[in-house]
Amino acid sequence: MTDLTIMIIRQEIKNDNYNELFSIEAATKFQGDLGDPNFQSTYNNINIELFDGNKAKKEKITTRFDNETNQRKMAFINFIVHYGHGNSNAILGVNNDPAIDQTLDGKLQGRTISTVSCKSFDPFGNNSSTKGYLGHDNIYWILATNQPFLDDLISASTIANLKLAEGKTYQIAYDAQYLAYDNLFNKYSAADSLAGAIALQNRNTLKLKGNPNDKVV
Amino acid sequence: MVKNKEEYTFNELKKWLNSLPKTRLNEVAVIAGEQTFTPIELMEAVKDKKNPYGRMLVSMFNNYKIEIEKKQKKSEKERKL
Repeated sequence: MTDLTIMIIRQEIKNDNYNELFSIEAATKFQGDLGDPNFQSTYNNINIELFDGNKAKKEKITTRFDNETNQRKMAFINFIVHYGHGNSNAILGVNNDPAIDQTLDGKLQGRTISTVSCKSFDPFGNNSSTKGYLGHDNIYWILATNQPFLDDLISASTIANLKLAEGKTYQIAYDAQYLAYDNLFNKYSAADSLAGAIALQNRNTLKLKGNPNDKVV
Repeated sequence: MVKNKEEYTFNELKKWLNSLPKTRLNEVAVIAGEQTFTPIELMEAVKDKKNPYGRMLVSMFNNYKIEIEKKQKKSEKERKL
């Protein structure tokens, strides 16, 4: 039996619509679901470390990684879950500065990153030395005028991360996430074609790097 | 008859815009990463052939149309069986 240590990077920029309407809610939901008594996992223990607000910063993340190998001997972060903005070269944190980019690549071996953000899959994630990387290779779209759709999108965006925390393979997690967006398309497209188009876009830009049969640990 | 992808996108967005309460027309409706759009701004982005978000929306609605047609064909096939 193994333990899983998850770093949740929750970007929190004031007056940022993506953060305030979507990504903070999604990160909080993911963390809440992990703590639900009905949540079942093959991992013995799940430890969560939240890097939110001013902690969503490259220096803090670097220090945390370094504390795995120095005398502090902190647990190895197996799984990094990020909700916030991203670009082709990084996932972003405080002030939209890179929280993790290629300058940290030497510390990413053996880790899995999953991010709900724009564009970071290519080239950053796909070329990274992570064990696995789940992310998007284009813009991530949100529709704010349809509250039930927004609520469902928030839930859908946690599916792969929950599967990985349950101990499922990358492929199972990817397929479940893909299906969740597909279900959104089926549910909303008849009455709201923009919601349907957005669900489809987020589905189509989802990408996976790594051995599909691997698990986080 | 829809002439092209731009026209299809514009028509779909027009239907969507007409379904919104008037009070929502000046509020943020769509968030594309760091970019936000009110419904009116979204229509303008689609009209502007140089706007990358407008181009992306046209592509998104084209994919949407293809997917809808695919699903319709599948259900017609299933009905015939």
